[in-house]
Amino acid sequence: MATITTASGLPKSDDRRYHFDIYAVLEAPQELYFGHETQVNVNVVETVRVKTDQGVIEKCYLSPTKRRGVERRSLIWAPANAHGVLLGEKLGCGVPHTCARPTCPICAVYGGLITGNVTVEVLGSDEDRTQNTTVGRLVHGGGVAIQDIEPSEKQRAMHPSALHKEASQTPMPFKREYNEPALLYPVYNHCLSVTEVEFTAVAYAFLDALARLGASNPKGVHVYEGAFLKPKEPLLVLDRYLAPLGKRPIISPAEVLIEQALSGFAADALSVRGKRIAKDFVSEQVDGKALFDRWIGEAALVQLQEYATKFAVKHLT
Amino acid sequence: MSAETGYYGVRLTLRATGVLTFRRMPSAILHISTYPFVPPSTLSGWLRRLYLMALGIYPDTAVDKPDYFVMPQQYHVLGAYPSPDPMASFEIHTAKRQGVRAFNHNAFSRVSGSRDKKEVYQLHTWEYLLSERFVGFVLHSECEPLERIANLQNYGCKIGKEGYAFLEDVSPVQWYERCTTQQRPHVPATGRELVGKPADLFVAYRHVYSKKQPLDGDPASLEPSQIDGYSLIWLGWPAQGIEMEYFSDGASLIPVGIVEEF
Repeated sequence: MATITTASGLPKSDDRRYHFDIYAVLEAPQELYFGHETQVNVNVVETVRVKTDQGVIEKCYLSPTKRRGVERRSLIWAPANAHGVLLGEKLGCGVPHTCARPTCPICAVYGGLITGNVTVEVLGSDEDRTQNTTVGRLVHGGGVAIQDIEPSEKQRAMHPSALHKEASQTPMPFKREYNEPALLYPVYNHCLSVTEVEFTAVAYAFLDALARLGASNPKGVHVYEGAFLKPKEPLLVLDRYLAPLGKRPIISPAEVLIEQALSGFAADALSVRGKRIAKDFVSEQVDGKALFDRWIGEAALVQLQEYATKFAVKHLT
Repeated sequence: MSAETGYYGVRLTLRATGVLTFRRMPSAILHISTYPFVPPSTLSGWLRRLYLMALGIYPDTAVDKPDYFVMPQQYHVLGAYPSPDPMASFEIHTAKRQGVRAFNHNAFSRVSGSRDKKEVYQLHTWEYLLSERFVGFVLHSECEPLERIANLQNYGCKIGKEGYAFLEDVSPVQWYERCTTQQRPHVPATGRELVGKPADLFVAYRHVYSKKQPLDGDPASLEPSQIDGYSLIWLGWPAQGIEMEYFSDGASLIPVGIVEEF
């Protein structure tokens, strides 16, 4: 009779695995360009069409797949030691060649794929790698802006770089769309069965990628501040759990009113096991075992920073 | 009660936290298109994953001949469909992406340096299904196994090829009575039921259970499902209400054909 292997293939860990979720509302403090396609001389941003009770509307979009790409590169390009080596160089892990080792802090959570046996040069020495897959345990969601504001189209010109201009060197005009400033983007990161050590990479990448989101220039978003328990704190929720005992703060893509969207987000964030919580950290325990921990607002940001610090100490110093 | 007269059933409400992709088969490489619903086979695997998550188990995900983990065959998992109108409450977002042609280089994460001719992008289009809620159905000849699905409420997991959804709500177990009527169904009918009728048709796939698969399977066990493979089936939405046999709890109409197939 055949023996069935039920092991996950993940390296043995003495640490407990948890599910983690990050829920956040991001704001772009300036225009943002995340390209969709180039039409003749017009660079278009990615938008989605959303069905609402009032009909179909078009909304700006911070695509989860693009956020994932920026986060992964922020890990690959993280400064890894005092000698100018980047984390991706140290691990021999890049895009699209990922090292796919479950021990790699990047591939362990973001996943990796080696389609055939290859030799990889890592910091000057050759390393043989065999065909392998590591399934990503981090999924990105959200990204549909709250406000119903269409992108704006701007005239731009690519100027020749010469200081002295000849008659033939005329600027090349083109148009580019931008997402308007102050758009709010609810975003969500979900982790399946990762250890706290593995989650440190997710926390580091989430925080580090904020300033780098967007293609071309300008870039960057920040965690929007609104009301949870205090009138103004980061709209950020961090869950670490075995059982999902908290209401999930998800903003409907069809919602266009900021006040309603954010008050719904806050109400869900403050609802754990059907009760309204009054603290910025709650831990639901059964027989002394934590089944569900939730940090909100400033406490969530500090907890993510704690995890990011652990990542930096372990991999970047 | 026998299947002749009806089934017990639950209505599941899935909430997506972002866009989703359920890759349509047969598939193309450079264009990835999505079903405009959660196919029955996908919902079956996703529900099984939730059972295992609730137990704190993380099953194998091998590349080579991975084990199947789907719901036992006594559970008729019928897929989940955009709500409130299964045929219209969704948008398909087509993203244009510069994708990878070969994986054996790291050119896309080089800060500086040149690319050789093979280290190039190729243009992909990728469809994403945008719908906030999906309503799905699971039928069973007994009531008690369905009652346990309520324990999975609020659990969530990756679903399909892209995206994440959680089980927002599970209805109480209802009796779905066999009846004949002429209305629009809440679950697609099978190609066999739609012969000669105008309809939107999709090629879907169903699991073929091996004879080794025990009939009294427990979704909360770690035993992989014994699946021989997939077989093709046509599913479709009739263009207008057509007279057919349905299972109904008074609110939802489920064509008899799909229950016989899944």
